[in-house]
Amino acid sequence: MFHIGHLNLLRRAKEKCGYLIVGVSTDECVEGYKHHTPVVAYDERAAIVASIKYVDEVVPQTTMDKLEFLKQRHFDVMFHGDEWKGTELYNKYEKEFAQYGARIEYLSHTEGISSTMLRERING
Amino acid sequence: MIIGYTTGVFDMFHIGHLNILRRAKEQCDYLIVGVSTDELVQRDKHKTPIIPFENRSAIVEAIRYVDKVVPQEDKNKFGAWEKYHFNRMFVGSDWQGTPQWEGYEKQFGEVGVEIVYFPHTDGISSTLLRELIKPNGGGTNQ
Repeated sequence: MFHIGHLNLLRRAKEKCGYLIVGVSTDECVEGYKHHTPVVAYDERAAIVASIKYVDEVVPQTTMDKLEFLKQRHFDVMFHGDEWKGTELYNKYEKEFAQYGARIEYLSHTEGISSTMLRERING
Repeated sequence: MIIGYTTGVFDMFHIGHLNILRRAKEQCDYLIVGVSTDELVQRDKHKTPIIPFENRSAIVEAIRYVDKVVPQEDKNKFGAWEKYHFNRMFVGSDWQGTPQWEGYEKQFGEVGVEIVYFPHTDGISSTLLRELIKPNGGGTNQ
């Protein structure tokens, strides 16, 4: 469910680049790692993201392997939530990305909002 | 230049909201969206939106079809016209044919404002989303 936390990330990413591509996870991709289907279908989630002023292009994210996309399509900087900063996986990505001339910039999440929190608020 | 106006709560922004905004913008040059304040929703619908006004407004304002967002503090549509001087107002088709909106059509017709009715998107609403979010609620794929 699109919320203010999502909007803030998109706005802040666009402040730091000239052309923003957003990979929206497909339903199959989400099922693969969260083991549940998103409540809102991919087409609708992608349409909403594509309608945001800060977004130049939406592509489906079919795999959680971030390097896969970089191999297909060059980008200079990938924006990601900072909870992954300093982890083994992302340290590895940083090195691999550098070989392609790309870097990672970490953005902090908006406090007090997340899809999980929203679900809890709705469920009462 | 055709100035358009539409209003809503836009709680838990979904594809139905997006469709209304997109279709409204197709029929005007400058789209003003009135987002209902938390107080109005409490008075009018006797419930509190899940998402506070500030965040609901921010999301609507970020949609590429929207030129301006204003707070909707009351249900006085003619009062809104006196402020914003729109030429066309977009409304859900569930209101069409009601005495209230037949009255509005006359009142707005006198000042040259056209009322355009849109059908809602099937299969989605904030109420439905609330149900789908519950455990075993399913999804919009179904």
